[in-house]
Amino acid sequence: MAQPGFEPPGSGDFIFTPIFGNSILATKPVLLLFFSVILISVFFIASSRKAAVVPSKLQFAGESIYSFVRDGIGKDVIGHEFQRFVPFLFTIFTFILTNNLFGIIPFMQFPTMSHIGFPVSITIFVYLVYHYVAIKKHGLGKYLKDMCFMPGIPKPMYVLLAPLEFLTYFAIRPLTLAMRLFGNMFAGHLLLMLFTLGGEYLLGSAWVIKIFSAISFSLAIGLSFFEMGIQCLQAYIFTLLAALYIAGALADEH
Amino acid sequence: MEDRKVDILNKDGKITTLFYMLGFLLAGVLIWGAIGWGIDNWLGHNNYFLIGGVVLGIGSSLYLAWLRFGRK
Repeated sequence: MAQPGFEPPGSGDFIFTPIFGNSILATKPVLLLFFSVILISVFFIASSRKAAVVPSKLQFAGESIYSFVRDGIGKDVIGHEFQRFVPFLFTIFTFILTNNLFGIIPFMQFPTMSHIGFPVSITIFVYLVYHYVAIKKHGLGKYLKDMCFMPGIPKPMYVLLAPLEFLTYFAIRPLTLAMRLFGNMFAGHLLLMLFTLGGEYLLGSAWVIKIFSAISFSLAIGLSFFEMGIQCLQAYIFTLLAALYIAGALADEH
Repeated sequence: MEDRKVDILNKDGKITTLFYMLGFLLAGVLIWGAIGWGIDNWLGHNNYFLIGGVVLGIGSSLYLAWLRFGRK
């Protein structure tokens, strides 16, 4: 080949070298993570510090996010015991949402959750919480029995269904929860990188091809808005499913 | 009690039901496929039990999904 061809983005673009020092804790995703914690804290402290009966714009924004999680996810899904899970759900939701949105904010442009370690660690918390809640409420024996042996079906069917239910609760749920978030963020970031880098590459060609570069760049901008929808949706779905698992753990009968 | 359970799972419309069913399907195929694969390795390599296990897994997970969401 006379000219080097276009090199598409790949999983290698998700590996960052430390910004300073040698520690893995100084890479871009980790710093974004710390920044998100500061950002969330500052926003909600600022919005609730001067709470008034007639809310300011900032207080209104903070309160609408809070009531969205409390009523839309907590109350609707978990039911009468929802109040003690609201802080947990609210933390998960705002944390994932902020970190996802970093993917389209200029100069950050990296969704932290597209590194598998971050979704996995959140999932571990959800996993521990819903099993703990269920074991505390029903006891370990009754929890396992209710989980594997659904009432009202013929006895021989338990041979088929018991291992399936067991695997669903202990392996598939956390696996899909973490993978769904990771996969969506990874794919979204890859897509945006592809159109941006493609547009940049085409810009260096003959003037006829520069037109296609413009198309590529405008697609990247359009897809950024599309990504924003996905990022909000994934944060919502993660929290909703966490609430559903807790609700299932609290239900009287499995 | 059973009604309440179904009610909780169906609360937010179809999307969560879809995720539950995907989870069941994955679990069914994985566990019965793995058991079939194990029997194949034990008896010799002809893969019949693997295929049978996967089919059984799909069948049982669809049955479970029907029990959870389809049955009245």
